[in-house]
Amino acid sequence: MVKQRNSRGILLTSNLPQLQNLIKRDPKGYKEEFLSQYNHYLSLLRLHSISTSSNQVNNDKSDEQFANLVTFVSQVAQCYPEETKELPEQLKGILLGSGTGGTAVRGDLRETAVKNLIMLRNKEVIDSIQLLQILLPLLAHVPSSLRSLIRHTILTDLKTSNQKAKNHRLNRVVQSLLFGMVESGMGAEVVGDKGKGKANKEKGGEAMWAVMMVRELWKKGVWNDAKTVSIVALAAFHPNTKVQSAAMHFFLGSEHDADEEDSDDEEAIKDARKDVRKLEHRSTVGKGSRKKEKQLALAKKDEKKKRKNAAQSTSANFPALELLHDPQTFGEKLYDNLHKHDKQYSLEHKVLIMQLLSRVMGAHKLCILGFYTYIIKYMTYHQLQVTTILVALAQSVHELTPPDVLTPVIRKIAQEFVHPGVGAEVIAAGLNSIREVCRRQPWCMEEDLLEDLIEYRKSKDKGVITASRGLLQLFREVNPGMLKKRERGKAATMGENSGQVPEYGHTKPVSQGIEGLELLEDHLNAMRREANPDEPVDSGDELSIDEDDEGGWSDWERESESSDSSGWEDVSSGEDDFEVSDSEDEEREKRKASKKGKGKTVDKVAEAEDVDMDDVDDSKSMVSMATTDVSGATKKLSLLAQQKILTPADFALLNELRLKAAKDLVTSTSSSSAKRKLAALEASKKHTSGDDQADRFLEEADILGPRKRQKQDYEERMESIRKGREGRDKFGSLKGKKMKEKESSSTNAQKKRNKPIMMALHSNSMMQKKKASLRDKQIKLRASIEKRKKAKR
Amino acid sequence: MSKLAASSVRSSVKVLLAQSGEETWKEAGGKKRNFIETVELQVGLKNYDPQRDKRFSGTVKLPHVPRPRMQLCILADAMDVDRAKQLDEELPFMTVEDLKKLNKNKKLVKKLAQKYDAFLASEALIKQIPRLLGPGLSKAGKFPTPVSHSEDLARKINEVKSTIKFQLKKVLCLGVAIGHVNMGEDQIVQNTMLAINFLISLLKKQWQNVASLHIKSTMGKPQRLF
Repeated sequence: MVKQRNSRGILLTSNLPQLQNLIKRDPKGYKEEFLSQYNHYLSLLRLHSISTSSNQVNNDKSDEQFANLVTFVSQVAQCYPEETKELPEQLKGILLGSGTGGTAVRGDLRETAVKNLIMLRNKEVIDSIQLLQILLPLLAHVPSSLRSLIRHTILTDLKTSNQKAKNHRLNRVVQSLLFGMVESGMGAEVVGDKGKGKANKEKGGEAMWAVMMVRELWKKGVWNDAKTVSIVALAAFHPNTKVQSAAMHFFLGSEHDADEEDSDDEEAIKDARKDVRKLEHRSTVGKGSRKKEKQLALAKKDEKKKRKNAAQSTSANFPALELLHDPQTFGEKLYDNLHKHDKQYSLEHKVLIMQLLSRVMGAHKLCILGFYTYIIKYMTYHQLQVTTILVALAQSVHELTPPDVLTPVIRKIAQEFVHPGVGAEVIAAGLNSIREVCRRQPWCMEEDLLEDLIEYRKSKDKGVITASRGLLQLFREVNPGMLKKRERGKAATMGENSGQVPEYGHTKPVSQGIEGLELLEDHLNAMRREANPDEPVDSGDELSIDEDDEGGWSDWERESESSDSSGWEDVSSGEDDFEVSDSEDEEREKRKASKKGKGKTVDKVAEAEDVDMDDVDDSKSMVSMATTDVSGATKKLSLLAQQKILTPADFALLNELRLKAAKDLVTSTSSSSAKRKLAALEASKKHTSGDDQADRFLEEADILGPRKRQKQDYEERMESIRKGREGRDKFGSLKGKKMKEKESSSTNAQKKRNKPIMMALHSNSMMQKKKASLRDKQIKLRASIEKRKKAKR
Repeated sequence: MSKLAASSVRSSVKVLLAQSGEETWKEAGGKKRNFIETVELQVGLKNYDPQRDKRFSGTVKLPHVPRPRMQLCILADAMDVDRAKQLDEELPFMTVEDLKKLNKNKKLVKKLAQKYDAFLASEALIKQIPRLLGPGLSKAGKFPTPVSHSEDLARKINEVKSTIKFQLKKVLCLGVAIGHVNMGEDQIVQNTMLAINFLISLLKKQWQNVASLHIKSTMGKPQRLF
């Protein structure tokens, strides 16, 4: 007992870890020891704050001792919650400088304090709000090594606390902190990044870090609400251009980020693919088991999911743009910023602002008319980054942009880009950008200008030809009236064109119903006509009807029933016609399946047919009544939609009919617009997620157009040859060089041995032997026999 | 509930009408209101991410006017002013001078947009609207419908009144007016069916995107359709 006491006494003075260990085992027993250490810590803390406030340089040793004490106290803090209540506040004071004057400390001590704070959070002594409140302001003021730790901590902490459900309280606190960080710098004078401003390498401080944090959290999907976006939206007007540009990259979904993410995704996909391969291989080897099958199915599913995710993630920051609060004001402020600081900002930054502004305008259909007059001055072919500016211009246009503000811009582009004095690429770019603008707002074009531009389709350069043809094609679709008669094309002349864009301000004629509904109606009517004459339909006949019609069958019955139910007021509500239709749906699918494997499932078909026939019988009387009713009263097309609720099967049928109609149109007119429509329909059939985003956001490549690759000149060719030779051995045979220890060429004997047999047979020496006369052969034979005999002896 | 039939729509409409009808509200468990209630269709969507997917919007003309008391206003040139005055019930109008007086003042434009439910505009004027009024009207989703001089104004008004607009905003639910309680049962049923069908045709995955459908009168109880 004494010994133990003694040894403990020795331990106490210097060995804090040991004490820490003992305290954790028995907090009550060692309370006194702890308190003495704690008092020591407190006094050191006071000393420290005094010394820092009076700017004294304190020596390393005391710092180290203090750091050790801090670590010790925070390690055991959870054992004495009462005594160490003040600890988090004190640590905060150490880091941020308390209100009473103690300033922030530097160096190792700071790192220790941060680490201890994180530890306290992990031990749940403090909550994440407290932790983040301390850490966030630190970001801007610490060296990079510590910063990465802090960043990591903040991100993981937010992520984990939002994992199960969104932690709104925490998010709100952190978001308002970040908002404050951005807002604090807002009042300052705008410093451009051009000329004088260039020397000013200020980093943007807290605001920058706030934007970075938001960006990362957004990317990880932790935050995706409007408030997050509003923080960045505010930062887009920060006086510091670096902060501005970071915020704008957030909205634009900059390429850098995308690349990073892409490579990650690709790797993940590759890994998943590898797993699948491995499992597939395993399943071929040895006995198959259910477990293996299951694993394989799982792996395949996983891979598919990853692929899908990767496909989804490659887009601009569309949601963030959508979540903008009051986009009109945002756009106007952006434009003001651009316009006001035109001289101060570098071109790069201005282009960035233009890009964002145009995206916002396009996405929210804003009219910021000043933008178009502003952008005119950049419309010269020797302007740097002109393609990006052209993209921005085209993106900002939408159907509500007044055409009269666009006309001058279009004229300017035509004057600057499209004339014989410039290169073919320039013409192509000009034509393409005009086309893109006109696609969105066709009424900004003038007739004579269009005529000139279309003439360029007779040019010799491929890019120009395609661009000009594209423009022609566009106007054939959207407004053939602007073209000369002979250029209108067949579809437009014959008045079959449906893509005509309504004049400015007019919306498309309000749809009376659903697109393609009349097709369905016609189809149903046709079916009815076909069915009525021969009342008892035998099953053989029904089999001969093609698939579409079969779909129509079930629909027809359903339709007649429901139209029946709506035709009379006193229908008993107990009649569940939907139930019937549902069974028919299944039936239809069954039939489809049975069509595929006809031989196997004949009996199934028969069964289905039976059911069908029953239905027909049930509803026959109603059908006849309904048909008379419908044929008597229905003239208006949308009646169908008023009478019944279209079921999923109906919509499937509708799509099929539309597809069929589009195909018919293609075969009858063979116009490219019809073809395009068909392609779009087919695409939408394949995957229902129609990505209209693609036609919303334009790429530079669209403006540049297809470019023929220039032929390389001599220097370039030699360069590429030299590049290819780098790091490889000289070509040529390695025979006799690598095989032997000493380099030498091969001998004649070696060569002879490897001579191809056919060549050897036809060689001179062999041919002479073959062709020799009998006499010569005899002489030779005799000689050889003699020789052998001699050799034997 | 997974299926919707025409008959069930009809029965819900019946219940709804009974609850807010003049004579029938007592036994149906409704309450008497001192105004004509509007019947609206409320839709809840699912499997749809308004932040990622494209937000759809579509307009459809219903067979019967759902809101006859809708406030319209015409932004008119001289000829249309005369026509507006000659209508049976005079149509409020604003001339170019009136619009210029607003001076692009955001608050005034907003006030104007709030005062009326929809706008018409003479064809000649429509191009000047963004310049005269700024973005206020399109922001409110009330960009005027153009009327040419050759069109019958009364019919145009009727058309605008019977047109409804489905527009998905940031949340996964939307509501549209499809009638009022003084309408006949048949009329409401027809309007409802057309509205539902049109909405479904707008959706990417048709019925799979629909979480719920309700109809309700302004102050009545909601009736679940789907």
